[in-house]
Amino acid sequence: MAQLATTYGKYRAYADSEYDALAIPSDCTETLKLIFTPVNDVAWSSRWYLEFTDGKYIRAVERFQRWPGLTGIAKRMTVAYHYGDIVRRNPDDNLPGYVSAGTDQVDIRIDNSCAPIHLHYQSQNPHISQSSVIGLDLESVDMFIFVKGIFRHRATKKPLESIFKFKIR
Amino acid sequence: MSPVREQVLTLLEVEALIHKFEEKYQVSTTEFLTSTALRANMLDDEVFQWEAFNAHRDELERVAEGVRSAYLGNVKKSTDETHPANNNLALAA
Repeated sequence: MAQLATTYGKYRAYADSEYDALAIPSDCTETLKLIFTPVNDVAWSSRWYLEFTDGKYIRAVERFQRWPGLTGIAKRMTVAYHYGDIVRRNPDDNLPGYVSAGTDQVDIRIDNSCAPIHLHYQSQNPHISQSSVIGLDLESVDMFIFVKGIFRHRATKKPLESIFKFKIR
Repeated sequence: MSPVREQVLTLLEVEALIHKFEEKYQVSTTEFLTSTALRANMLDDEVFQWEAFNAHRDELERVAEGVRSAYLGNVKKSTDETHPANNNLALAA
């Protein structure tokens, strides 16, 4: 249930239900448990970090805000779902860090930093726009779809493009 | 009870968090929001948090302004009426 337009109450109910049903693998630790920071029913953000014993990590962050012109509806404005090697840590909180202007390793990343939603696959560059991603609507991916996909990829060793069902044009 | 955590921040708390980033990077939030080069070289999570706190502050201020406007509208309406007691009711609200 990826939602472009929703409310905090609805999204939290969905997140609680997905989180309760999530089976976290034994080689995975939540180094920042999923945390929501709501303002009200139309504005909130969330952060979530999971690390694996082989040095990889997942970061899932989202920010929703009031949808201009639509009363009582929120829109996902910022999104970043990242899976890759831990190449550095933020000294302030010891969480894995990623610098978009660098050469940080990426297995898969979906984000809308500085550009409409796009994909990074197996390297930081290029930024692969939605028009070059066949079979996967990037906007339809939410944090639970992403995290469960990574868990499945690690458990089955299937390639990520097979797990998330996309091809790059 | 859900194991998913939730933190609720007041305007003062959000402003303190924004100030922390401004101190760390020695730039204003406006400069941060407009400098693509600065943002590209920051840790992605710090960019996210700074933007999120700024949006959080904007929304809190928007809500506060809505409450203030509704209150002032109520006071004005009360002064238009002939019963002075209505002012006291509005002020007490």
